This record gives sequence, C-alpha cells and structure tokens, in this order.
Amino acid sequence: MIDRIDALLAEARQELSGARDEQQIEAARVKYLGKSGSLSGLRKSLGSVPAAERPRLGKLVTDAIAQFETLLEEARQSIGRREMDKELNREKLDVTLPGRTRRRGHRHPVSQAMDDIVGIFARLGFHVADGPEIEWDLYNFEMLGFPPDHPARDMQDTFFLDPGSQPPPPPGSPPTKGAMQQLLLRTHTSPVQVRAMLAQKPPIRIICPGKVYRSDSDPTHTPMFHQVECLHVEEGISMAHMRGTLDAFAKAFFGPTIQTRLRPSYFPFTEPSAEVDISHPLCGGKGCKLCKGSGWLEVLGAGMVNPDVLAGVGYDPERITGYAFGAGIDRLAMLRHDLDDLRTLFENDVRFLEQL
Amino acid sequence: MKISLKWLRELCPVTLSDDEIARMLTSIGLEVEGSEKRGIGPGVVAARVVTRTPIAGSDHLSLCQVDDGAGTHQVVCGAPNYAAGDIVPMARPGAKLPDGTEIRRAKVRGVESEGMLCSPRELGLSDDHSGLLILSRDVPLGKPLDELLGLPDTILEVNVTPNRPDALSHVGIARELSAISGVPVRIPEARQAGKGELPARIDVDDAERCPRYFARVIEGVHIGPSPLHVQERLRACGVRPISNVVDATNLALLELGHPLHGFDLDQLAGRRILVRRAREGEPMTTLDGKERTLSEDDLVIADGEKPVALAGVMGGLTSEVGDRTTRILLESAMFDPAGVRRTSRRHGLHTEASHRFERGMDERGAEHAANRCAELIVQLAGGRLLPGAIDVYPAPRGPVKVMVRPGRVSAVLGVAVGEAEVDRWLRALQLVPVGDGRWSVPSWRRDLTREIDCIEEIARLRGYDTIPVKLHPAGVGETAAISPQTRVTAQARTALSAHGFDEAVNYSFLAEKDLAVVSPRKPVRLANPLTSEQGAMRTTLLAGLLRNVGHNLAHGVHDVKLYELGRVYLPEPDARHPSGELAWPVHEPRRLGLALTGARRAKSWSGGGDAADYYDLKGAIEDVLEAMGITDPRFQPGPHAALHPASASLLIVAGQPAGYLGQAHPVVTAHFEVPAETYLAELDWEALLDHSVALKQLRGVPRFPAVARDLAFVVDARVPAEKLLEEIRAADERKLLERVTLFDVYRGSPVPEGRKSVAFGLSLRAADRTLTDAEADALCGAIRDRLKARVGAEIRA
Ligand SMILES: [Zn+2]
Repeated sequence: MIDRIDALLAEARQELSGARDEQQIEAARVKYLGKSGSLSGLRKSLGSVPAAERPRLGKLVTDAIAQFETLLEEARQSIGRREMDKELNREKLDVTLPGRTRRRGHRHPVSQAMDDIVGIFARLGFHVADGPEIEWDLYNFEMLGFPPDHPARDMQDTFFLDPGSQPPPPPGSPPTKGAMQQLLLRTHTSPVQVRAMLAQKPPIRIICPGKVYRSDSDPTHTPMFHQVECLHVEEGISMAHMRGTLDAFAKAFFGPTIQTRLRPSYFPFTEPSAEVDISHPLCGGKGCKLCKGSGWLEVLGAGMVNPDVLAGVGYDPERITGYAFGAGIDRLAMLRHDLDDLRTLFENDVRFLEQL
Repeated sequence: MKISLKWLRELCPVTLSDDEIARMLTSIGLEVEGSEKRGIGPGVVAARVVTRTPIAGSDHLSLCQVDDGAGTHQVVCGAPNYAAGDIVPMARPGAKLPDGTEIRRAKVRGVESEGMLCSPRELGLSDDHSGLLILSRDVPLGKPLDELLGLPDTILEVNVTPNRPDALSHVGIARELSAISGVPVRIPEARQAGKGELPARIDVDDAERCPRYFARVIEGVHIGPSPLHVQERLRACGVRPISNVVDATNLALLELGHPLHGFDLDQLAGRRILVRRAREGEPMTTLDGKERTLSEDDLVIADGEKPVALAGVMGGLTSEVGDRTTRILLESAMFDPAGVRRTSRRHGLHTEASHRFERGMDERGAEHAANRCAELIVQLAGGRLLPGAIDVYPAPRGPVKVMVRPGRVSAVLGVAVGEAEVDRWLRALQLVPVGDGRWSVPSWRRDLTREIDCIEEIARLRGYDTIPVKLHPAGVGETAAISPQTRVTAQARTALSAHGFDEAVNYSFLAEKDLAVVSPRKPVRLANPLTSEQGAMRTTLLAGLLRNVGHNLAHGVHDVKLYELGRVYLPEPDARHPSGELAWPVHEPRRLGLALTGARRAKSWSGGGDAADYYDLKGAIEDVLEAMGITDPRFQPGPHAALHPASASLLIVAGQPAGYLGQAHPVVTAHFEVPAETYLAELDWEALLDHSVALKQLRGVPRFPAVARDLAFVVDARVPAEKLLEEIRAADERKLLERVTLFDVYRGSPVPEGRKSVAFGLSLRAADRTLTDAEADALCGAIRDRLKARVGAEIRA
C-alpha cells in the first residue's frame, strides 16, 4: 500500500506540472480526489487492512492527500501567474524617451571655490572676518607700509572714487582725525587685517574672502577679482607655522600630492615676504606649456606680518608675531577647472555656467 | 631690469651656467622673468666694398665686389648709404640672421649674389633699416660682427622689487650673486677727484630735497657715436644709444645704478647751478621736447636764469649735450624719493632716473658714480677730466647700525639659526660687525634699518626651503564653528539651484546710465575708471543681471534664470558700522538679485516650453524664504522704478519691506534690449539673514487624523487672494486650521462679469483628539459667514 501511495503521488505531480489550464487541473482533482478518485479509493480501502496497521497507514494516506492538495494549489497559482505575465507583456514603454528633468541651477565657480576655502580654513581654526570694499587709503595702504608717494603703490594700480560722489566721513572715522579723506576700491583684502587687529586682541585667526579691484584688464587680469586673506597673529608664531597652514590649505584644495614652494619677494606689510608656488596640478609638477615648463605655478603672496604693522595697531611686535597671506580665488578656481581666460568668469554666459 | 650676463660675469666671475645663475637669482628674490639670447652668429663678418656698380634696369640695386679678407665676392645690394671703400657687415651664404633668415646664393635680376650686406635691423641691433651698418675703417676684414659687438650674450629680465633700488644695476646684481655664490665682486675702480678749482658754481637751496650734489667737469670732449660694442651693450639693456657722452652716463647708470646727468657747461647761464623749487607756473622744456608748466613742489636744477632740468627726472632741452659741446658738467646727486615721485607723476614722466630716485639712491655712492662716469666719458669722447669736484653735502649720513639676535632670527623663522650662520650671511652682504651683536649696514642697502630686515636677508640667502613645515596646534584641534549665516546662505542657494537659477557674478562698477534706468539713487563714481562703461559703483544688482540677460539673448540663449548674491554701494552711513575707527566709509549691504525670462521649463515631448511669469519668480522667492526659515513673508503691491506697475510688488518680512519683485518696466526692457516678459527681484539680504532661522525647531508629526474640506466662493474680482486667506484664518477661533491651499481661481461663465470664483482646500486638525464632523462643519460655517459679511462672498454650490 505504501508503494501505491508513492506511485500515485508521483503520477499526480507529473500530471499537474503539465497542466495548461483550469480544466486540466479540475480533471486531475476528480481523478485523484473525486468520489471514485484513486486517492479517495485508498482511504476507503483502509477498512480492509488489519486494525493494528490502520493508524499508521491512515496517517500516510492523510498526508498524501494533503500533499496532493498543495500540488493542486501550486499548479493553480502557476497558471494564474502565467496569464498575468501574458497580460502585462501586451504593452511596453519606450524607455529610451528622455526623462522629465528639472534643470538645476549652477553655482558660480568662484563662489564654489570660496565656500571650499572657507570650509578648509574653518577646519584649520580660522573664522571669517569682513570689511568694506570701498576703503580709506589709511587701511588699504598707509597702515600696511605703503606711505604716500611710495613706489610700492605702483604694485597695485588703484581705482579712486570721485570725491564729489563720496558721502561725508562717518563720525569718529579716520578722516575725521586727519587721515586722507580720498576713498578707493580696496586693491587687496589686506585692509581687513588692520581692521581685525584694531577690533580685537590676539590671538587672531581669521580669513576674509571678498572682492578686490585693480585698474588692469587683459586675459589674465580683470579689474575686479576675488581674494582670500588669511591672518594668524599670536605669541610664538613663526614662518614654519605659515608654511604649515599654506601646505595644509594647498593639499586640501588641490589634493594630497600638491607641493608648495616659497620664493623671496616683497610686500610692504610682511617681512620676510614670499611668493608661494604650488606644483602644477595639471601636469603633476612635471612641467608643461601652462606652467612654462617649470612645473610650478605662482598662486599667492605670503609673509610674516611686518612689525611696523603690528606696532601700528598697538601690538607689541617683540611679543606678538604672525603671518598673513592673500590668494587670488579666481585663479585658484580657474586652475581647478582648467580655464584660461579670466574674463569668462564675469560674462555670466549661461552656456558657461551650466557646465559646472 | 635687463641684465647682460656677459657684463655680470665680468663683475662677478662665477663659473655657473646661464641657467644656474638665473635660478640662483630667482631663489634669493631677484625673480628672472625671461631671458633673451643676443648674437649674430659666425657667418656675418666685416667686409670692404671694393666696387659698386648700378644694375641696369633697376633704380636702386647695385652689384658690389666685396672683400672679406678671404677673397672677393659679388653681392647684389639695394641700400642707398654706402660707397666703395666702406666697411660693412656681410652675411656669407649659410649664415643665419637673428630674425631667422638664412642666407643663400641667389640670382637677383639674373645676377649671381654670393651673400648679403646688412642693415642694423637685419642684424637685430636696432630698428634702423634705412641703410647698411657702416663700420669703422680700421676694422680688420673678415672679423666676425659678434666679436666687434661683444656678442654672443644672454640678457636676463630681472624683476627687482621696489624695496631693492640697490639691485637696479649690474654691480647691484653682482653683489647679490656674490653673496649667494661666495665669488667676490670686482667693481671697476675710479680715481678720486682730488683737489682743483672747477669753472662752475653750485648752490643748493633745498637741502631736504637735495641732500647731496656732486659734480665734475670734463673739457675738450668730441661728441660722436660710441663704439659698436658700447652701443650694443646699451641696446641689450633697453637703452637707446645717443652720443658718446650721453652713452657714458647711461653706461655708468647700468653699471652702478646711480643716475647721472651731463650738462653742456657753456650753455649754463653764468656757468652756475642752483638747485631750487620751481616757481608756480614756471615754464620749462624737457629733453623730450615737451613744454611743461612747473609747480612749486617741483625741484629743479636751474642755471643763472632758468630751470635746466627737472631734478631726478629729466634734463632740459637748453643745456642738452649736443654736437658742438666741448665742456661737460657731470651731475651725480641725491634727491628726496617722495619728491621725485610726486614730480614724476605730476608730469607723467617715468624715466630710468626717476625710477631709481623714487626708490632711494645711495648718496654716499654718488661720488664714486661720478668719478667712474667721468672716466668713461674721457674713454669714449676724449677730453680731459679736471681735477677736483664740487660737493654740496651739508649733512653726510653715517652708516645705519642694526642689532641682530640669533635667537630672534630662529624664533621668526621657526628653525634654529646659530650665531655663526648669522655672521656668515650678514658678512656676505657686506654688513660689518661693530660689537654687541650690532652690524653696520653698507650705504647702498637703504632697506636694512631694523632687525627684521636682516632676518629676511638671512632667510632668503639660506633658502626659504630650509624653513620647516609645522602645523600650528590651532590647525589641529580648534575647528571654527559653522556660522548660522553660512548655513542659511547654503540653504538659500540650494533652493535657488532647485528652481534652476544659475549664479552670476558681475563687476561692482558699471555704466551710470544703466543704473539710472533701474534706480533713482545717485551712485558713488570712480575717479579713474577704465571705461565709462565701468564708471559707477552699483546701487542695485538689477542693472548687471539685465546686462547678463541681454548678453545671453544675444548669444541665442533665450531661457535665462540668474541670481546674484553680492554687495551694492550706497553713499550713506553703514548702519552696521556707523562710526569710530572701524566705521565703513559707505554703506555696502548685500542683496539677492534675480532675473528670469523665457520658458518655465524646457520644451520637451511631454510638455514644457510655456513662458515663465510673475508667479514663477514669486514661487522661487517663497521657497528661498522657506529654506531660510522665514515663516511670515507677505507680498503686497508697491511701485518701483524698474518694474511694471501691474505686478510691481513689495516683499514684507516681519512687517518691514525686504525687497521688491515684478515684471520689468517697458522702459527698462527697451534700454537693456531684453524681452517684455522679463521678471526681476531684488531682496535685502541683510534683512533676510536677520529674520532667518539656521536650525529649525522640529515638532514631530501629528498623532490625530486631519479632516479635509473644500470651500469655493464667488467674490468681486478685485479682492486679493490674501484678503480671503486672512479672513479664513480670522474665522478659525479655535486654531483648527492646519493648512489652507488656494487651488483654483476662475473667471468667466457662469461666474458673473467682474467676479471670480476662488476655491480653497482646508485641512483641519486638533493636536489632542480626532475632530468630529460637527466641529469641522461648524468651522466651515463660520468661515462662510465671515467671508460673506466681510467681502461679500457668495458660496458656490
Ligand atoms: Zn604644468
């Protein structure tokens, strides 16, 4: 009888797996579980087995029937799924049609670079400071070591404001105390150094990103551009710290393999002064046409704050030292994006901006 | 400053290559910005024209027989200025001229030509192409031109910073090269003046502006051209050869750096010199032939009658050394730097002399410069140098002494520098120890007055690359906090990007007429703009953005959404920095400007392409404000010069105007040549920041369900939507209204003429329980009643 059960189940599995529709499944059900079905027949024949065998065989038959019912259910589901698939495959989308996009806006490369720079210096412990773009001569030049009639002023072609269009000097401001009244467009972000040091006592760790102006216009100079000023003044600051900050900044902005190099130079408000070169990111410092074969690019000016500047804001230069540097943000941004004509930055051509 | 390496090697005989010298100079702060090789090559030699025969049928060509020492050659030449017997440069076949021309045998008019006779320009000597270079009759035939000219040579372009006037000469650069290489300098000597009466008188009226005036006299000079190698040396350094005496002063200038001036002594009235201030309005004609009107601040060199030179800037025409000059008064003076600079700028005269005097010259060195120059004059122009000098030097400057502490050097540089090293480098620069750690500074180094100046010298000579890279502890631990402003600004920018606005950055100055169209405010103007298109500081961002829209349209881009976040410049006190030493000279508030024209969304297969309008702009602004955490913005009609009256509106934040928006006024669109459907906004960024919330308070989500109801009203078409919203909110006494959405506005049949239908979706919710239908019905009833009473609203079925 056991053999008979197994044979019937195998036969039923075979039949159901070949079933193509509901009728065939129903036919199988009748054949095995109908009034005269073969599995139903087995149940009836239990009466003729010895009583001692009956419970064991009875359980076998019940299990076989349950198994058969599971097979029936599976067969029904498989047919339903097949019909659904047929239905679903009737129509297809053209997935190659363009999606519905919403054109995103694009940040200006200079403001992106500025944000990155502010972020890098925040991690190095520098806060953002602010100052006016229309400045007094006193803060832009005199207190930074450019006395009137000094040739160092030729280093920065200056835009002056028409005195007739200037407002009167604010109460208590430098011109009310005898400083030159003539206003100018700041030629560098360095006047913020003076303002920051007048406003607070050391330690000072600030950066100031912003617009600066020089009367100069060609593919590599625009009359307005952006600089970031960095000033770090407290006890015990040395030129080695300046190199540390410069190096950390260059690596954070351009990548970990970037090298920095200092060359002696002159700025009236720093001493010693340096031009800072970075290894050319594009050619990896090997030398190419853009870096004139040297592998280096001049990106910023730096130096130890001139003791006269510190004394001018009332600090004791014997005790307090510091470094400062200023970098052209536009140039840094152009280097990152391999752009060569600076003037493109301020045309605000959508075809340019949307490449970003 | 152009430096001849051949000359430099004479003064400091290093065995380094040209490139090594250039690198070494750059490494100590004398940046070599370029180099130029000069030389004609071995194929050009001196040759004598034996015969010159005109070629038949040509009006200018001649056939010449030319002897170059090795033989006679026939050469065709078209120059007009030579005759048989002249010695001229001949380029042999195979020679390559400096401009790249290669000389070959050629047939000219059927005549064989075996070379070329050369003009100065063809040899790269000058621009002169009027004829052949005529050489002196005693030049040996066959001698290469390079040998005659002292070539080949390499000329370096050295960028000398304004603090280093001492380096504006070959001797100055040689001193630096010597300091870094250890090879001693060999400065050409000159005999001292000795004793003697000179046939001239010199007085200095203004010793402050002229601390020293030193003069020598040379008699019996013969004015003529300098030898070729002298001319070449001047030209290589960018100075035009003029005549032997003038060339000698320029040669001394290039060698020693001190400006010298030769006067024709016999043209000086009374044979006297008076150094004085000019009289206001006094006329004078300078060497360049320009008539100048002098100011009282100008220092002049006058003779017995009139100014004969602008002190330290340029000589005058009347006492110029000319062909008939025989007696020279040679001036070597020291003038006050600032005064020279003022005069130079006032008259727009930037000369080799003014460039140096305004940086500060070595008054002690003036004497040697004069003696050396006087000897050069005699060498080049003959004559006799009279013994004796006139030296008006009432207050000689003693040497400057500076204390240099090795400990301080180490502290500033961040690397240990010992006493021996300090000693080594300061001696290399010819500083002399005078005891107690003090050093006496040579007179030509006027820039070394403080310890820090000497520290810089030590640093640059030992090399900036020897300074270690050390990160300050602040860079390791003390990260600065992200400021609320930074965060809010980033959030606003994200919203603007999501709305498709590209960020513009415009110049802060632009044409005043552009500003006038969009803003009635008077701007601050530049005194010296590059162009009138950049003459006024912007008082609004709109003008720049409108120019950008125009630029894009002109380049075929019709859909433009731009924003700019930047300052405007208003001639009034700055409210945030109004007074004291930290006051800002003018008001520089930040603004957010927007400009929008073209399609709302790009046209595609699924739609888009419809024109953006006021509500696109307003929606973008609403989203920006939402991103900034500004919760209660209101918009109300308000006129603005740049905006169309139909849509000109004000943004109100916390009860105060914080910007304006609307369609551009037709006058504006016409001026900037942009479409009529251009929409503009300018928001007061400072006010927005003041009311922004960087980190918003969060409340979780509601626990009880909301009840949704729709209500539609018919009202007079002139009733603003905001009025209806206000009344709906006012009717909600128990604060159950969670959200009101205005989802439909309709005019037209069946709504009567002059009226409109407005539909609202309401979401009602109580925080502490599930609302019942009865409660919702009651609120809707109250809203209906209030709108009926207040704005005559009828309920639409
Ligand atoms: Zn490169």
